[in-house]
Amino acid sequence: MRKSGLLRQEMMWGYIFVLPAILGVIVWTAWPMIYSAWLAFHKWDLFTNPVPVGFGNFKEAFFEDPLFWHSLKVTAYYTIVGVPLQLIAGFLLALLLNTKIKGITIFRTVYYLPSIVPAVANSVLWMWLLNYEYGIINTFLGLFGVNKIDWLGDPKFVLPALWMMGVWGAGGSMIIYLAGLQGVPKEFYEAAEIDGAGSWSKFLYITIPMMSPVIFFNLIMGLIGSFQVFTVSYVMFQGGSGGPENAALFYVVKLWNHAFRYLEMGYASALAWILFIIILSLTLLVFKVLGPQVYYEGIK
Amino acid sequence: MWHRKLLLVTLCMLLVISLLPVISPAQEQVTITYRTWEGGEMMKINQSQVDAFMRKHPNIKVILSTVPENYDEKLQIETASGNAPDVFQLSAENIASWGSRGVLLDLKPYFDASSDLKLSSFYEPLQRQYTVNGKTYGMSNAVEISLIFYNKKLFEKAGLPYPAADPAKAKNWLWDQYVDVAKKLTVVDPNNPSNILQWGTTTTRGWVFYFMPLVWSNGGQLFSKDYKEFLLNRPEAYEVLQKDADLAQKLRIASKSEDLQKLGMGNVDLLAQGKLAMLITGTWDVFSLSVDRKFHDWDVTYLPVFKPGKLYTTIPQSGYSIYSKTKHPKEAFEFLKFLLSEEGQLYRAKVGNVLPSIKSLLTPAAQKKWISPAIHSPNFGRVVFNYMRYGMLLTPTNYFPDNWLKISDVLDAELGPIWSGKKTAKEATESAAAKINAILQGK
Amino acid sequence: MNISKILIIFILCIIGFVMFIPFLWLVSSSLKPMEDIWVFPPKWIPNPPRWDNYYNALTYLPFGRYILNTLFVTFMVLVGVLLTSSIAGYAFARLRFPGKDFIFYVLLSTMMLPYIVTLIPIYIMFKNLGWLDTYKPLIIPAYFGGGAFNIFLFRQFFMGIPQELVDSARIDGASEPSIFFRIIIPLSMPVVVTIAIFTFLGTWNDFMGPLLYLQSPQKLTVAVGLSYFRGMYSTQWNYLMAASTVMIIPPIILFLLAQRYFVRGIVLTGLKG
Repeated sequence: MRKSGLLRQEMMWGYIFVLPAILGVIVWTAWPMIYSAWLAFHKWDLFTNPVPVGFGNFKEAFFEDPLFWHSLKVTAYYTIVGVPLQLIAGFLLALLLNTKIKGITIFRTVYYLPSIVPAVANSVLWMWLLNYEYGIINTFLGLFGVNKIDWLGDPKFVLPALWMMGVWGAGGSMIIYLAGLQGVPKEFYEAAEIDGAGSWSKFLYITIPMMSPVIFFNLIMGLIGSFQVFTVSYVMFQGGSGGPENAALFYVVKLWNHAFRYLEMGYASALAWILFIIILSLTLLVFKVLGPQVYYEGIK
Repeated sequence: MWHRKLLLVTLCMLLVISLLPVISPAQEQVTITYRTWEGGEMMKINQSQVDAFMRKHPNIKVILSTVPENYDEKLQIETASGNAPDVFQLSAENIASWGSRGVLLDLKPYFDASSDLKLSSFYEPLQRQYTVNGKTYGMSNAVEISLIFYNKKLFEKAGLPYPAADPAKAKNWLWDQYVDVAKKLTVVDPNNPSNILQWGTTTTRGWVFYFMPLVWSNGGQLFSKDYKEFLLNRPEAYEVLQKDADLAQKLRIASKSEDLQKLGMGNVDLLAQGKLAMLITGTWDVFSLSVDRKFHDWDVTYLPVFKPGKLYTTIPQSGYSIYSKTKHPKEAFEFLKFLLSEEGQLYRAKVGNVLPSIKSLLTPAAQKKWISPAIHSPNFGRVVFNYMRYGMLLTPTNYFPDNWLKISDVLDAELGPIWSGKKTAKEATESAAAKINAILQGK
Repeated sequence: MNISKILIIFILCIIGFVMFIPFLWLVSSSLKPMEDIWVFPPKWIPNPPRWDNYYNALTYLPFGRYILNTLFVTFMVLVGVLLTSSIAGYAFARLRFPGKDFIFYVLLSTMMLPYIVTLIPIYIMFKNLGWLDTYKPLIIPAYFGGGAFNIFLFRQFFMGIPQELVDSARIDGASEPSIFFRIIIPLSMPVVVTIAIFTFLGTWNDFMGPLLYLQSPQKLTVAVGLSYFRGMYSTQWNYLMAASTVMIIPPIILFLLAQRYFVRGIVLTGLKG
């Protein structure tokens, strides 16, 4: 009797606690999402009435628009390399910044600076660093006899340049890891030390499992964010141009072109929903496959 | 009986009160909203322009809002939601596609009814560019032309005469002569041949407004007259593109570095810092050089030609339109007329940002009204007034058709490999033609 | 001090230098005259430094007003996000109720549709509510869950808190809200602070929201104000960089202060064993 009362209590508070979020979805998100789903089956130029076209937009994307596949490939490639790179970079930086030394707060702040500096300033800075004739990166590589690289002009090097920028801006995920590291009880390490564990096995058997919820989080968010990558291409390559030979024509950049350059909001909505399905399937897959591997100290 | 009378009187009074705003509009102040993308130095100039208008028209209040970034998105979202400003800046590329969808007010009847400012008051190509199927969806307040800026000191140092200001001479300034001059102006580091200390010439490579005058001068075209076929894949066109690409790739007299140029810097700085002798760009860089960089040792000249006598330039520009659903079309047009009038245009032209679009300011006699030695170069007026006579619009339709932005994006992407030396101009234009013709012929 | 610590400090310094470059560059550009901004190759030390760039940049537009506006919006958003996303995260992590997983995935899926295609319906919604040119579109949605990102992040951290703590409190008759506020939150300061930092920075730097929904010049925020340095044909980079430097001071201060809460949150002593 008391047990079921507790359960009922728990259930009630569960609903109360998620109520604002559910209301948020119903009030703010549901209608715009439904509206865009409806638009996906129309042609809409923003100014005159939408014209129904059935599955026309989807047919166009899959069978008639070569840039659809191109942009999807570029985005997938950016994600496959970029997300793990950022995951690892953020994690290593966080480990580094978790050391107990004097002035570590200053170091942490400095490492987070790239994420704080406004995007305009950042993009201009990178234009400087990556400049073909005068950029610091080419000058530095020149010291080792490497020929000048046209980072932003040569399609081969565009994505590597963007990955570099991604790693350098890994401050966000670094902070999350750092927060996660504070939750690893010191006692675990002490106990392991008593058992004679070395630093590598401590890392492997304590740090990694204890951090797995955070790694999992960064992975999921990295996936969702990376498939929708937009800003970096938009600022580095003047609007929706997509860089040399469309080497940075990410999916959402293309989508933006259709929505706001070509006045094809219906087609853009169809593209958006295709991407939605892709991201959703991938996320659910990751949840299914890797979800059970995640170790939650509180749920055993 | 008396209460009936009272009722009647009350009704009459109510009627009069309710009609008051309608019958006395002259006393009512009308508010119109005005949107530009011009931030920075232009914000204060725009505001003073608005203030001057309001002093003349105390019954019209104009609220200026400035959106220097993501301008198109904001305006499109507002327009799609029925909430656009009354008067706004719009790039020429959008005029036809927005106008034909009923978003822009047809200004033709207003210009026809106007006594002081007519459509015919404006630089002729603009009249054509802003008129779509007999309707005028806006007007430019500011013209640019593409031309060459050069660093005078570098010419002196190399012992070369300045390029001509005389159009008769410029008509015979052939491409090979231009290349020859550029070669003489290129300085290579004697210790390291891959390090160029001074470039002969450069531009924003691949910019359609830059290469089209050269293509035209060789008898080439961008599109067929009926706008159904893409023609850059003809030898008279792609040869020009190839020769231009060779400047950077083979001859190494033009800089390959364009990334900074994309942010509106780089090339202009190279010119001002004496690391670049000639820069093909638009007239807007007058301001970048004279005001921003405080560099004055520059002058302008015409682009070279491939065949004698075939002098051309392009005229990129933007203008103002009125929202078709504005509640105050008359007042909005009154304000637009002020922006486009001689008085209104001088605000901008004087700063060195743009050339005026009104004919009365585009004569040698009117040049003292806006050309000043502090901002403009000695030959500026002469070159510009002459060169504008050779200004051409990019598309045979005059206005930019609906599919232009799509075509221009394909063009940029497909021609890119020419400038990076990965494809010959012949190959690249061939591949561009296949895609662009598909768009032109509606798939 | 042992060798490995010295090595770590060495690596920290090297990477730190790379991370510090943007800031250095920002400050250096902010102290240059306009014609020196794009000198090839770049000069890192402005000579002489133009301190009046700061005065000019900050008086060019009413930046004081913008900063107050932005602080107000940011504070209001911060409260909404922290309050509503933390309780939702707790429910998803520790409470059992039917439909939990489904609701969670629905929430997560709201992040998967590119925002570009919902801009217009959202704008129309705010227009119909009469909220345009007010701070409501920027603030009020934050009180409805505070975003799937934050909820998910809270959930991940709350799931690491030992069940024994929650159970013993429940047996003592503590209600869920009091368990949450008295036990869970104090143990979770690192994640609370992390989300506070992200939310602060996100709102502080938000450009699209204020750009779309605000109109009156006196209501604008700092991020929108910054864009005003960009002219049509030239950008006043030195002023832009000076204003940017001032703009990043509040987040830096917040970040420095917040780190005091970056300490081990869970003390297991006495619970295990």
